[in-house]
Amino acid sequence: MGQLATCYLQNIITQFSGPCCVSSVAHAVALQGLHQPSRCHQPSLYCSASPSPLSSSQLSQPVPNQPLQHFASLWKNCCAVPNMHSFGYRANALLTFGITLLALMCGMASFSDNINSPSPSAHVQVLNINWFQKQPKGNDEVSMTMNISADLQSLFTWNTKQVFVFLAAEYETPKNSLNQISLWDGIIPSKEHAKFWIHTSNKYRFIDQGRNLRGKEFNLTMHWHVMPKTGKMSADKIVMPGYRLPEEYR
Amino acid sequence: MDWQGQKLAEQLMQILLLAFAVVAFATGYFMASFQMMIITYFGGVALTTLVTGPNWPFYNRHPLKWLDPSEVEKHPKPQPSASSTSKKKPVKK
Amino acid sequence: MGWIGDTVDSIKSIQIRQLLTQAVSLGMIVTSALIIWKALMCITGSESPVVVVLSGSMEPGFKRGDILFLHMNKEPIRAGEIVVFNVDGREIPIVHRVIKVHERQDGEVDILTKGDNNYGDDRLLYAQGQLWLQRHHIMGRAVGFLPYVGWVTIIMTEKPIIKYILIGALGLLVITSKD
Repeated sequence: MGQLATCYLQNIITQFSGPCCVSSVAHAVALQGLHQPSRCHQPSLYCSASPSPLSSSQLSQPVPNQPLQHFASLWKNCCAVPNMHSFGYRANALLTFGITLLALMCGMASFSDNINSPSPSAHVQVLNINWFQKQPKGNDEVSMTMNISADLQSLFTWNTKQVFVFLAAEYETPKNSLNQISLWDGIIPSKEHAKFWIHTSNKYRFIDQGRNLRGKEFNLTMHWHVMPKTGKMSADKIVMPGYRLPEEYR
Repeated sequence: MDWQGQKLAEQLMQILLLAFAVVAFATGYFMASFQMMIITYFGGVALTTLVTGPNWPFYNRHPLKWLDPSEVEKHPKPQPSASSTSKKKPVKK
Repeated sequence: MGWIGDTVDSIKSIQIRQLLTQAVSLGMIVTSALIIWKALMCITGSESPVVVVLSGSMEPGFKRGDILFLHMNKEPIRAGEIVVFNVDGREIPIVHRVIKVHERQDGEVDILTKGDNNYGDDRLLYAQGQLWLQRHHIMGRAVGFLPYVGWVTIIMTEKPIIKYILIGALGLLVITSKD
């Protein structure tokens, strides 16, 4: 128990105080997406940006108190013999053991996904080449209409949050050993939606790097990416070979 | 909380949490619902907190018995053989 | 009077010992945390093996506050993988999904990414005039996922006062605690 507490404390110290790992924490904290301004790398801003009335109101927030208690007892746990004589110590022991078990359960849930052996099926039909031309820049571009039907129900387990599915055109050209171009994608939120049929033109532009598409044979590959509620992500695919583009622009 | 009570509290906590973890995992797995597992487990944690958190009376059934001061005066210089009896009552393990 | 002096001395020496013990064990904790982090870096081959998601551009897969475990190896990058990449002139890494791959015979690769929750692809996010990502932009690919845990870090970053209070209180406890 004491060792576990030490481990948690180590995590906490790594995360927060870390003079030891400034760069790593900066990176960890800084994985910011699209629209938000960076607030990660200017510690000097913090001091000037927190006037005293604000800080006093934040002081009165109940949030930091509980972790504080936790830290204190964690600290004692790894220095001294753990005991159960006060509420704080009991709460700490409970929290440490509880979190450990929760992590264990999540690990087992993630592991239980391996037992599932999925047997998905997919079928794609290219109905029409809408247009096929050379761009002004000299790259070939094609637009097509497809019929996609798939049954991915067997991919869903109790630990599955969503399945991301996409259809990619894959082909080889003299310049490139592999081209993968996503044509359509979708997010399947639950098992009920996992058996679907869709009639669509390509969602993303099918542009080659060069002009190699005339008469080109290509594979359509149905990829899926299973996102778990917790744990390891997994991916797989079905390759459907034998599609061919027309010999002439149209 | 006395010494026996502390031991009891720690054992109760571990056994209860472990039992709830097993039950929660089984419930979640067989109902195919991750949410169910989390709810069951947190319910168990709450119950365990209720059982082992407060200083309930049943943790205090083995209070330490200290000798009366007058008893000590009768034996001003405790002998090495008698020293264990003049100190606090040894805790049963 | 001699035994009083002895007692004072022993108390003094105990305090010094306690102080030293505490300082040493605190140092041990900090250094072993560093060791663990560096070992993770070596094993995963990524310079930051654990990252926190800060935006909703990958919802509903990844939400703000989720933790991703990264892995970096020599295997080629393929469409559909979720990668973390750095764009020149932008200090914050981005985590998005690969939608197009053009791999040359010599292993050079052109990659286009898109966030699951974004309408268009990422060319607007790349540097001016940049059409493709190359291999050296990629920091790692996401292999594992843990929900909500990253909120601790986000709160610490956005409300630094809480962080300072925590560090201060922890330090105070370390100094004053006696067992």
